[in-house]
Amino acid sequence: MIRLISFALVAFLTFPLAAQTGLWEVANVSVGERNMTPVAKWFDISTDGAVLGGNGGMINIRGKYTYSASISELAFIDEEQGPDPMGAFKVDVNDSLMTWQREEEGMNVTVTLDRIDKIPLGPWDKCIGPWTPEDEEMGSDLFMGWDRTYRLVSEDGTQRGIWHIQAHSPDLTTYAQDGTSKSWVISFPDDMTMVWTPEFGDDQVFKKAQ
Amino acid sequence: MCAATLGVSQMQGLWEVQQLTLEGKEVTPFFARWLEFRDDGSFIQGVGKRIEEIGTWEQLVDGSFNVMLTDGRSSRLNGMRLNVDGDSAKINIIDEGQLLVASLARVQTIPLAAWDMCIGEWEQKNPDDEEQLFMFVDHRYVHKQDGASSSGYWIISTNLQDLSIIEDNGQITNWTISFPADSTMRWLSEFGEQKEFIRAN
Repeated sequence: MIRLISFALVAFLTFPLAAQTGLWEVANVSVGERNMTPVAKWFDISTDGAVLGGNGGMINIRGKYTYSASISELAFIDEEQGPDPMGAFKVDVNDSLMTWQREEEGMNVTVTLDRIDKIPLGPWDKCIGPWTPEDEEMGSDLFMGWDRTYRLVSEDGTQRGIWHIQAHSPDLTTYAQDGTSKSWVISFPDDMTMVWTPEFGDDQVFKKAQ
Repeated sequence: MCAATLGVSQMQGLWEVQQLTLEGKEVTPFFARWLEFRDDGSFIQGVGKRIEEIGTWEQLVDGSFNVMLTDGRSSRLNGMRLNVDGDSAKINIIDEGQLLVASLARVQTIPLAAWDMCIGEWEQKNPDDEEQLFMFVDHRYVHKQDGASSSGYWIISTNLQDLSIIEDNGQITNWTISFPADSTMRWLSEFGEQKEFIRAN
C-alpha cells in the first residue's frame, strides 16, 4: 500500500514537471496589445531544476527554476540577478506547445513557446565566419567576426569596419572604417548562403567559405 | 577502464579553463572560457555569456571522447582525453599534431567576460562630473554628459581588453577596459586619459 501511495505521489509530482522540461523556443510574446517577440529566444528547462536560456548564442539566463504544481506557476532564479523581479508565470503545457502568462507593470504578458530539439541561432550567429561574395565587384573575401568587426577584401584593398544586427529584426548595418555606413536586410536562404538586401538596388549574395 | 568510467561520472558539471598550453608553452593569456558537461550526454562551451559550441559527448572504448556538434561537425574537443581529480581536471587534445592541454577548475557560475561585465548603467566616479553611460547588450551605447547626449557602438576585441567606441558620427576612440572591482569599470586611452565609472543602482 505504501509503495502504491509512493508511486502515485511520484507520478503526481513528476508529470507536470516533465511536461514543461526540455528545450523551448519563444514563438510569440505579446505585452498588452503589442507584439514583442524576440529573435531566437530559447529556454532549456532541465529535469534537475536548472534553467539555461538565451538569444541565439548569447546566454541571458542561467540558474534554477521552481514549479508549483498545485497552482501551475513557474518562476526563474538567475544565478547572477537572483529571482525574476516580475514574478512567476502561470503555465499551461499542451504537448509541444507551452504558454506563460503574468502581469508586468499593469499589462498582460503572454509568451507562447514551441518545443524544439536544437538551440536556435540568430542572424548574428549565422553570419559569423568567412564568406565569398558572388559579385566580384563587392570583393573576393568577407570575414565577419563574432566581436562584430568585419573585413572585406577587394581589388581596392581591405575594408574594415563593424557590423550590427538589430535584436528584434533582421536589419544589418555595416560601418566602414572610413565612416560610411550602409543598411541591409540580412537573410539566410540555406546554411551555406547569406543574402544582404539593400533598400534600393540588387541583393548581395555570399557563399560560406571553407 | 575503471579510471575512465570514474572520469565520466566526475566530469559532469561546469568547468572554467584556467590555463591552456600548446606543446608546453602557455597560450596567450585569456579568461572567461568554460565548458559544461551534462549528464544527458550534451555539452556547451563558451566565453563569458557567448556560446561557442553545443553538442554531445560520449566516451569510446579506448578512453578518448567522441565530441560532436549539433550540426554534425566535430567539436574542437573531439578526441580529447580527460583526467579528473576532484574539482580540477585536465583535457589533452592533439591539435594538428601538437599537444594542447587545458587545465580546468570546477565552478558554480559561468565566468563573465568584459563584454558581459560592461552591460548596464554607469556613472562617472567623480560626483562633480554629471556623466552617465548606458551600455546595451546589442552593442549600442548612450552617453550623457553636461546635458549633451551621444550614442554609437561599443566593440570589445577577442583579447577582452581592447574597447572601441564608435560614435554615430563616425568618430572612433580606443581604450583598454578593465574592472578593478565588481562595480567599477575603468577605461584607459592610448594617450593616457582615464575614465572610471561606477555601476548605477
